[in-house]
Amino acid sequence: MSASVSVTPPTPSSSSPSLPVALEGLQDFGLNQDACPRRAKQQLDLILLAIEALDLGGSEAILIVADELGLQDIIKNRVNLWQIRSTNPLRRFSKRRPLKQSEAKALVAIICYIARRLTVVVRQLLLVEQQLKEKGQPLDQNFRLADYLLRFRSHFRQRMNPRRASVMEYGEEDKLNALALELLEQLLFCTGTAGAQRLWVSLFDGEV
Amino acid sequence: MQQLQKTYSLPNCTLVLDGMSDPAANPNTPGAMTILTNAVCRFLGHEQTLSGGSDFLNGLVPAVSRYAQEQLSGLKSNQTQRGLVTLKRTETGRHHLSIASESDNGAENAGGNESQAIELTTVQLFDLVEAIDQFLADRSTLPSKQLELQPISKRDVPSQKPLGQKVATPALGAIGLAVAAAALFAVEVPEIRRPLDDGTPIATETADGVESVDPDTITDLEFAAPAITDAAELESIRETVFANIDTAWNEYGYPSFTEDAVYRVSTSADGEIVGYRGVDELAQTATDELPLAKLLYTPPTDTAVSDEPLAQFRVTFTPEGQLSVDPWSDDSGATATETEESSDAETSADTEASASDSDEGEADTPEADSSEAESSEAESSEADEGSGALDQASLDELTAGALTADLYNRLDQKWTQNPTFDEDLEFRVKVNIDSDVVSYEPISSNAKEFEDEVPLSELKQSDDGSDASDFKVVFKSNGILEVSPWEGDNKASE
Repeated sequence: MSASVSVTPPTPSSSSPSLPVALEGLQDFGLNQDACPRRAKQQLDLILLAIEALDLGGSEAILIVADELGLQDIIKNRVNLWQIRSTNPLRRFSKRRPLKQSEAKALVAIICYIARRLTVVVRQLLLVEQQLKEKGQPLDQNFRLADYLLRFRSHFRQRMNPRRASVMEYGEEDKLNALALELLEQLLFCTGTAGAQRLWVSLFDGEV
Repeated sequence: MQQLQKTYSLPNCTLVLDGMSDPAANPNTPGAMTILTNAVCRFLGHEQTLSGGSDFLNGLVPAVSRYAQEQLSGLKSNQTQRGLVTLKRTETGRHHLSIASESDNGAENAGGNESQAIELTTVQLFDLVEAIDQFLADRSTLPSKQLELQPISKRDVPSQKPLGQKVATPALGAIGLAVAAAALFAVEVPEIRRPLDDGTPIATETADGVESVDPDTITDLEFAAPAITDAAELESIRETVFANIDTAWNEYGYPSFTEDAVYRVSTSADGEIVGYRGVDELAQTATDELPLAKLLYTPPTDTAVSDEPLAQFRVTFTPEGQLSVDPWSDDSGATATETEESSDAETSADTEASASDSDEGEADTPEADSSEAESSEAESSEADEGSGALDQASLDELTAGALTADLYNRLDQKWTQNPTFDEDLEFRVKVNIDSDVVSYEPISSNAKEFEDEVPLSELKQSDDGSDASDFKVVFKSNGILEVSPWEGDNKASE
């Protein structure tokens, strides 16, 4: 089976007038078909999970933002969004379907848009984490941080398949907390001027 | 020449660039800083600054950018450890940024421009990245510098082991497998039920449009309504029912149930739901979260419905929001009646069919998904030793799963004639890697006789038998299709 991978030059956005503005600047990668690497499927869903843990209205926000950004043609409705997110192989009911690059781009645009709105809380939580770590104090000393970690753990356990070995690795609370914090850092990088391009390109690291 | 200073200011980091414009050399961008003389980074809470000339900035920009990308993907590039500016993560989770002296071999070392180093928190690091990104986006400062992002290439990922305890650990060991898997993911999951279901009476419906009308209690009643059995008609009703439920469900919240909720639903010929019943225990309690009650059609009079032909469907709502609507098959219906509602009778029937409903199916079948996960975990340790070789067994399993699904879909689509045979037809079918049928041979005694009723010869497209694998295909007399990888020994004896 061929696993050849090559990079196509970035297509100028002007050549595809139907492309939503939010997806401009995200180039296509010529893998051997229009699909995203496994790690991308996993990571996008997990970052969304972190957003849901940060923001109580996060799940709704994802759909609303999809509309605001004009991505209705790619993320049509709630069920469709679940289907796209369920390409995450760690999910309990993982779907055996590819994640199209257009779908992944839409998720990237949504993640970065929401991340920007959550900038303040993301920065605060990371600063608190750093301070607690340096003082050698447990992370649940801080109410907001503890709250985020608790919600993330509970979302993760609810939705990921405990029979997958890679999910089992997160059986311990500490490991799941570490994952939650890693995702929080990733969200911080998504808040920047070039957040969307950075996140998008990073999904293909080691794949081209 | 004109002296210029540009400042990019973030809460934790300030980047100040000093330089000059040279309108004569750059007539297109008059007033833009085109020559850099000095760059300084200041960080909140650090007295120390990082500074240098254009070599410093030329080293800093790509190194910081690449490091930021590593934080996002969890993959480490060899490139990061080369060059003037290097970054690495400390044990306390900070980021150690060091700059080798600009003039190691130069003469102007007197200025104290020894190597510089600083430890940054993640937020400080991010502010540095952001200051740089803002500077790169600013066309009036060094317009020749632009944001350049590329994925880390395979070559530059030394061990395929990510940083720390990244979630991707198992996946990355087997990038090749993941790519292969991606190709196979394109295959749709087959449905098990087909709309051919024969003439056995389909349960009918009373007229009391009470919520949760139970189709089974109706079967015994004398005024059984005629059943809709025409495959094409059933399919068109099925589509309407699916669309109605799907649309209505969008108005509801995220399901709180964690297992599939399965219902037997009776509809009129135009797709109106006239009755439904939970097949399993969960379905009895999940009703509040589902739009069935809302969609239930209450007929104006008792007689209105009792004469009307009805169709029966099996409707499954998964916790992940996946909806499936399949014709209710007679054998599952019969079993359901016998066993009452203790268990979902269809589940056991389904497990026979090799390519099963993916929604519940973790356990039963060659799921490309789970085999991928497992094999890639097995892979990651091997990959460390630098052998890129895939575990052949896992790959075979993956491929077989996908080919099974593909073959099923193709046969299912073409097999539209109602069976006239009474005994199941069994074939051994050779399929090549493109899912084309290469050859087939009848196995059961009647298979040759009824061969023309099934679409095998139609699908035989290729003689390229290299790399072909065998599948067992059973066309059941009740219209059910089964496809499974050929398991030589135990099946050959049948």
